[in-house]
Amino acid sequence: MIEKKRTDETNEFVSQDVRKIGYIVGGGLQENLKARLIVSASQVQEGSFVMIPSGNWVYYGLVTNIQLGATDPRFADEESELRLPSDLASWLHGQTLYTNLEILPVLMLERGPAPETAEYQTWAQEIEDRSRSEPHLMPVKTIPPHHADVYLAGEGEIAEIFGKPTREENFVLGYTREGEHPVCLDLDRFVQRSAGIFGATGSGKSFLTRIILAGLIQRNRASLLVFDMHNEYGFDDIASDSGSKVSGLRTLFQTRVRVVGLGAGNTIRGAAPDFNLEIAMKDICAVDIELLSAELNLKETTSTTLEALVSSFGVENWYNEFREMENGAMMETEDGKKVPAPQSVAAWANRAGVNVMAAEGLHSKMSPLFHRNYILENPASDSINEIVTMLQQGQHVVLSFGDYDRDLDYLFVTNLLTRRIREVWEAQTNQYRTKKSNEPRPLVIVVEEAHKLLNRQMASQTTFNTIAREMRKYYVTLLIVDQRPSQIYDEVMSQLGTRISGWLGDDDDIRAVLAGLAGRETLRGMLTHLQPKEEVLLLGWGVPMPIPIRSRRYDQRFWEDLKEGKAGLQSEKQTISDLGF
Amino acid sequence: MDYQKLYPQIQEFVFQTKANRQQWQITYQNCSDALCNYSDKVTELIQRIDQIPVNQQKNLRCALPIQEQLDQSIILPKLDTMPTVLAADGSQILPDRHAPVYYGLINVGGFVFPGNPQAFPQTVQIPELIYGEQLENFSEARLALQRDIHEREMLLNMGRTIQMPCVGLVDGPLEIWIGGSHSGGDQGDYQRSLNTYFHLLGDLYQQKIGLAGYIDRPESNYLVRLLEIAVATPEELQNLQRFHPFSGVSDVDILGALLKPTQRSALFSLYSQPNIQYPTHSQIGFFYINVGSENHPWLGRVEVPAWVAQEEQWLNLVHTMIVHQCQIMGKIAYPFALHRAHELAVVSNEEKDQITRWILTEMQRSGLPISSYSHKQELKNLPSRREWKNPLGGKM
Amino acid sequence: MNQIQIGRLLSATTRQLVVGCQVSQIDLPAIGSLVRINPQVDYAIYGLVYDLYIADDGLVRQLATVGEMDEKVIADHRLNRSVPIEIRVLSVGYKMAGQIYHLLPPKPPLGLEILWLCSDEEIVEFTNSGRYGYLRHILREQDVAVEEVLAAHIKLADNAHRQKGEADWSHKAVQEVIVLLRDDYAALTRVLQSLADSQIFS
Repeated sequence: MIEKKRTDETNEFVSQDVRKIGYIVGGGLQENLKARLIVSASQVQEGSFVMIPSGNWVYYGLVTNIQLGATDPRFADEESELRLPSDLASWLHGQTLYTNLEILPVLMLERGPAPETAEYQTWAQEIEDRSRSEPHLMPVKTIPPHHADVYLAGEGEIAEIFGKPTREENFVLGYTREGEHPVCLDLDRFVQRSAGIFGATGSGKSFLTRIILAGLIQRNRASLLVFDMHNEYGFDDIASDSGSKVSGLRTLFQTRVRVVGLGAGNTIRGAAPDFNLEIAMKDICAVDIELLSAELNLKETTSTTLEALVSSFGVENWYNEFREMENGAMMETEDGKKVPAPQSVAAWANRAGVNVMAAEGLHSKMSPLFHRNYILENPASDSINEIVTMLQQGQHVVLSFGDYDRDLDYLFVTNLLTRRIREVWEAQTNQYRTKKSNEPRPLVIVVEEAHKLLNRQMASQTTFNTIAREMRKYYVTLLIVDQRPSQIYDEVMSQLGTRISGWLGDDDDIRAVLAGLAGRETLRGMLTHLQPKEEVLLLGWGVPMPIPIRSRRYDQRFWEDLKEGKAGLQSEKQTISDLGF
Repeated sequence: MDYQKLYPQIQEFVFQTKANRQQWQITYQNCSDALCNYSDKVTELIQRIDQIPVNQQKNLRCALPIQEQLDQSIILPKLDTMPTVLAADGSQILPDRHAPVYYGLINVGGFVFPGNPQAFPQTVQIPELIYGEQLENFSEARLALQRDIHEREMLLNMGRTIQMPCVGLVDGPLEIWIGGSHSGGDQGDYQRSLNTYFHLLGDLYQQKIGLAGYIDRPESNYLVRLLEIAVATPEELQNLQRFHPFSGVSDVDILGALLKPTQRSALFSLYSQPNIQYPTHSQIGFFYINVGSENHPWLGRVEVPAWVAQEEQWLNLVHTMIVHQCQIMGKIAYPFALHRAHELAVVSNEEKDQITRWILTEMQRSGLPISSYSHKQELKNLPSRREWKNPLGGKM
Repeated sequence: MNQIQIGRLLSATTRQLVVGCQVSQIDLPAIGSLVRINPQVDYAIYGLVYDLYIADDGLVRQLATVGEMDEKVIADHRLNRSVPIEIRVLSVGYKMAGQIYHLLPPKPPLGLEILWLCSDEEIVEFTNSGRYGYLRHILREQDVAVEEVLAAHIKLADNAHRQKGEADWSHKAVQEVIVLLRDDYAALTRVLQSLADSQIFS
C-alpha cells in the first residue's frame, strides 16, 4: 500500500498536525536548502524535522540554521516601531524583514503522481505487479524546486521515518523539540552494530543509558552485560543533582537482571548482589597483565619475564607461583655470604635465566593485584562461567565493581571477562554455522568509561577493539558510554553504528562523535546547542536521519509506562495494519 | 525704434520742463498769495462772478464758493454708523469695423459694500450687447453716455433693496459729458439722453440714495480759475477767456499743502453752463479730499449733487465713506468699492475674442454667412516675434 | 446619487488633468480625493487630486500689504472675486462598459468636460476593483508630493470603506504600498511617516 500523502495538490494529509512554515527560496545539496519562514521563528527550532512535498517526491530534512534578513539593511537598522504606529510597523516588518531557514536535506521518498489520476493508477499498479520497486526512504539525490512548501513534520511523518511507537521493536526514546511527537529507536537495529552514548559530565548521559538499557531489557532480543564501574545501574540510586531516588534495573526487572559484585562480601549501594565474581588465578593470562602496563607502570622487559613465568610454571599456575615468591628474600650461605633465598624472585630469575632486576620489578609492581581479594587460588565456583551461562540463557548481568573502583580493577576484570566471552561466542557461532547448535544469543556489552579501555594505546591490546570491529558476526556488540569520545580510538569510533549524544562542550569530542557522518558541520552546531540533561541528538546507522530530541525522563512515569507496555515496547497487538514500509 | 534719433529730443524735453518749472514756481506763489488774500471774501467773489460779461461766461468752468472759506480744511467727522457703499462702473467694447462681426458691448459691474458689520459684499454684472439699429449714428461719446446711464441705473437698482443710509459711488464727474454738441450729432437724441439722466438723478434723490463721483488725481483748476477771476481787473474780466495769470497751476497744487490726511476742502458749487441746466436738487458741487498719508498727500475730487451738498449729514457720510474706502487699499489710495466695480466691469481682450467667436459660432449654426477679420486686422493678429528664452532657464 | 461638480477641464494629458474652478463655486476638493470625468456615456476617467493652485493678482497683493484688513474685504475676495483655482489631477484608471481598469485612460478627455467628485460608493467600487494597481500611477510621479497624496487618499478611502463596514481595506492598501516600495527605503519611509501622521492607524 502506498500512503496517500499529498500536500501540494490536494491538501490531503496523513496527519492533521502538519503545519506549513515556509517555502523554498534557494540553496542546494551542498550548501543546504534555504527557505523563507512564514510563521513566527519561535515555532521552529534548530533541528526541527521538516518535510517538503513536491512533485512525485517528499523530501525530509532538518532545520540547521535560522537567520534574520531584510530587503534593505536599513529596514533592519531602523527601530521603526518607535517611530510608526504599531500596525504600520508590523506590516512594514512583515514585508521587509524576514527569517530564512537553512534546511539540511537528508531523505527523500517517492510518493508517486497525484492520486485519482491515471498516472497514479499506473504507478500503483506497477508497484503491485512488482515491476516497480516499492517506494522506500533514500538519501537525497535531488532537491525540491523554488517555492516548494515546507511543512513542520507532524506525528505521522515522524512515525513514517523513525517508526511507529506501536511496533514492538520501536522504543520511544524521546520527543521532537517543538511538536512533542514521539521519536522511536529501532532496538533490533540498534543492537546489530556497536553503538555509543556520549555526553559531557552532567549532560544526563547515565539517565539516558538507563532508559536505553531498560528498553533493551524489556525488548529482550539481546543479553546485556553491563560493566557498571560506578555502581549506577543495578540497584536503586540517589540522583546526584536532584537527590531523588532513582530505580535500578534490578528493581524493575527482578527476574531478568542479575547484579554481580566483584569480590566476596561486597555490598553494592547497601544491597547484597545476587552473587560475587571471584577470579581464579588459573584464569589469568600473561596478556591480562600486559594490558595493565600503563596502569602499573610496567617496563618493556615485562613480556619477557611473563613468558619465562608461563614457561616455568605453565599457563594455569604461573600467576599463583609468582605471587607466592618472596621479593628480596635472602639467606646466608655457610660462608656467610648473602644470596637470594630459594623462594625468592631473584632465585627464580636466576634459575629461569631472566633479568633479576626485571623480575623483581615486575613482582613489586604486580603487588596491588596480588592483594586483590577477588582473585583467589581456588574460588568456590567458576563465577566467570556462571556469568557467561546466564548471558547465554538470556539473563542480563550488571557487574558492579563495588569498592574496586580503580581503573586497575576495571581494566583487569572487564578485559578478562570479555576475553572469555569472546572465546565462548566465537566458538558457539562457529558451531551454529556448522549447524551443530542453536543460534547464539545476541549480546551487548555495555562499557562505561570506555575511553579507559579503548584509547589509542589500549585499543590494539584489548578484546574490545576486536569486538567493536569484528564481533558483530559473532553476535556480540558493544554499547560504549563515555564523556570523552575524543579519547576513544578513531577506528573504534568509526565502527559505531548508532550514536546518541547529549551536550558536548569540547570541540575534539564533538568532532569524534560526528566522525564519518554526512553534514558534520551542520550537525556540529546542533550538538553544541543541545540542552543539557534534556536533549540528545540521534545519529548514525541506527536512525534514518539525524534528529535532536527531548529525551524521555527516567522517572516513575517511565517505569509505569514500561510496566504497562505503553513505552512502545509491548505492542497492543498490532491492530493497526502495517501501513508504510 | 531708432533710439539714437529719439534721445536728443528727450534731453530737450527735460531741459524745457526744468525751465518752465522755475516760471511755474513764481506763478504758484502768486496763486497761493491770491488764495490767502481772497480766502474769506466769499461774498465779494460771488458778486464778482456775476459781473462777468455774458459772452465770457460761456465755457467758463470755475468753483463757486458757497459759504466756507476758500482755504478751509474740514476734519474727518466721527460717525456712529457707516453708510452702505454702492459702486458702479462700466466698460465698453467699441464696435470695430475690422472685426468679423460689428457689435458693441457695455458691461456694468456693481459692488455693494454693506455698512452692516455682519453683511458680506455682493457683486452684480450686467452686460448688454449693442448691435443693429442701436449702432446707427454710432459714436464713442454716445456709447460712453449710454454706459454712464447704465451705471446710474445700476446704483438705483442696487439701492432699492439696501437699508439706509447708502451712497452710490461712480468713477469720474457727475456732470455728464454731452459731447454731441461738439461732434454734431442728433441734438434731440442727446437731449433725450440728458432727460433720462436727469430722471435717474431725480429717482436717486427720491429714493434717498446718496451719490458721489470720485475723480482720482484731478487736474481741474476750478478754484485757481476762481482766483484768476478774483485778481482780474475789470478790463481783464472783459476778456476773461484770454486771462490766465495762474496757468499751469491746478487746484491740487494749491490745496495739497493745506489739507492734512483725511481732511476735505471747502465745498464749492460748480459754475458751468451745463450745470445750470441741471435740476436744482441735482446741481453739482464738489470738494477736494486728501486720502494720502503724512508727507505724501494724495488729493481726489469728489462731486456730489445738491441734495447731498446741502445736507451736512450727507456730506459727512460721503467724506467718511471716501476716506474709509481709500484706506482699505493702503498706499494706493482709491475707493475699494470702485476698484471692485471696475474689476467686475472690465472686459479683457481674451473675453472680447471669446464673445466674437461665440457670436460667429451661433451665426454659423444658424446658417448665416460669416466674414473674417479685415486683412489689416488679420496682419496685426499675427503673433509677434516670440520672446527669446534662455535654454538654461535663467533670466537674461 | 448626489453629484458634486467641481469644475471644468482646462487641459489634459493621458497622465494628468488640469481643472479650473472658482472659489465661490464649491468647497474645494481635498488632496487625495477621487474624482471622475465622463467624456462619453459608458466611459469614465478616474483621477486623484494631487495639487491645488490658487492664483494671485495685483489686488490681492496690494490688499495684503495693508495692516488691518476689513473682514468684508476678505469675504469679498473669497466669495466674489473670480480668481480661478487650478485643480491638478493624476489619472489613475478608467471605466468602460461597466468594467473598471487601473490603467491609464486610453484617451484623455477634451476641454471643458465637467469634473465630478466621486461618492463613497464610487470610491469603494474603484478601490476594490483589481489589486490596488492604481497605486502605481501615484508612486511613479516625480513632481508630486507622493507621500502626502497617498496618505490623504488612503485616509479618505478608508473612511469610505468603513462606511460600508470594511475595516481592513486600508490595511491591505498599506501592505500593497509597502510591497511596491520596499526596494526604495527613502520613499517608503516618507510614505509611512505620512501615513503615521494621518492617524488612521494605531
